[in-house]
Amino acid sequence: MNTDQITYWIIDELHGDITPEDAALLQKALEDHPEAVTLRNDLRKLLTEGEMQGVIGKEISLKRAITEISKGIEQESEKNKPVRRNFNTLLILLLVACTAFYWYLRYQRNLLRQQTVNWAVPVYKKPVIILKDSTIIELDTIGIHGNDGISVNKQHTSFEISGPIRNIDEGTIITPPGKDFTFQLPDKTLIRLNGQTYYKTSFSHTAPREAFANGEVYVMAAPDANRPFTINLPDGKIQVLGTTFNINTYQPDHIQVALVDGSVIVKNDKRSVMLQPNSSANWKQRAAIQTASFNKKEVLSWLKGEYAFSSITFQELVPIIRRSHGLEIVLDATAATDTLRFSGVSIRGKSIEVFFQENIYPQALPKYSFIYETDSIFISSYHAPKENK
Amino acid sequence: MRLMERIANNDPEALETLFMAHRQRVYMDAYVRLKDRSAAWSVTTDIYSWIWKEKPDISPFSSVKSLLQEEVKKRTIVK
Repeated sequence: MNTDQITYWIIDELHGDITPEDAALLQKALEDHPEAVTLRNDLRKLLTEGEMQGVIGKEISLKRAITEISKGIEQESEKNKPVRRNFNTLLILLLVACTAFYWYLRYQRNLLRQQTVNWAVPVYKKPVIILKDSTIIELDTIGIHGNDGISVNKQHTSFEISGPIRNIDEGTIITPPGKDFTFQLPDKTLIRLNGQTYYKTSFSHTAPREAFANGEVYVMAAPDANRPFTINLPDGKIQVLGTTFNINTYQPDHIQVALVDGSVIVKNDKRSVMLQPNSSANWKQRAAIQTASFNKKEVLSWLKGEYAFSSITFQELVPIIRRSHGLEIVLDATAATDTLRFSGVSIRGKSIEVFFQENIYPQALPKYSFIYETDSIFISSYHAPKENK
Repeated sequence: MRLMERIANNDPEALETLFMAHRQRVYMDAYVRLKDRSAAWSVTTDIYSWIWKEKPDISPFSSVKSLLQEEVKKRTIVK
């Protein structure tokens, strides 16, 4: 067993950026070497508990950090010779330091998320199906004429699974952040998965229909009296009785099953409820399920690529932007200062900068500064953008 | 032009790109080895400063990722 290599894979996995190939190799190593399982458990513990846990709760002032780093760089610069070179080096190191702290904050946030949302869906950059035998199929490579039991439309957004894939009758579909995909399963059930969603299902024509969903899924279940359909959730389960409904488990403190048509029974350890059309089951992890009517336009707006929100804070905007644009927001502000409230609609495919200009800037500027990166946005209440670039 | 070649030509954006791509891995790798947050952070920033100053030759390694892994290993053993 190559401990170093396995450590790197585990770090990539924790980092949320493991390639499908490496994920398969890690999976194989875990199956072949029991000590690799121990190593993974130890590393997860090391990187999310103890000293690291203490760090997560702390507020980090970016301004203070940059000031300290700048002082160190200035002292170092005085020792060196050509003024021009020192200035350039100072700029470069300052840039690296700013970016480093930006990613450090993001890293801390990821760890926090991993701790508070213990069912976090792994992040893949493309849609994949991981078969029961750990084979990973990258769905963007499937040809439109279909092979291995899967076919796809020209846009690679809608897939049809006609039966076992490569003779394997069970697998997990995982979607990347910021994109949604539709799948027709062998029993003709249609599922539409929102970004960063996990759906484990059977591809058999005869096995009981039992699935596991985590993220957001719109289900149009095909009726089949002989094969009951159950969807397990990270907390609770849905007994499907031939119907159309939306599942949202993104936030453990706001799990929702919203019924559009037909009937479902939703249950967890605390309570079981039967939903009628246009009603929803809502609960917090490990708490009793409550029923309520729901705003269909708002709850199902993601099917049109629209994410409506009203009177929310920056912190509450984070998961919305992750879903609509697949971008991370790193917020450098304390809970006490995150007091502004925003309303609007984030539309998938629309420029994120335009979205911020229209919906956020009117209230947030000049108190907050915004830095746009390729895959994330850094929002700070401490300094103006010009100081960073 | 490859990233390390651009760094060799003093392109600061290339260093930023390199940093963005690997910073978390480097930090986590260093922390796993040192089990000390500030020391891991120091190793992470040291490595990028070193890359900028020394413009190391990547040819002995299969990828930039391998170079960074090796550098973390080297620096954490010394510490």
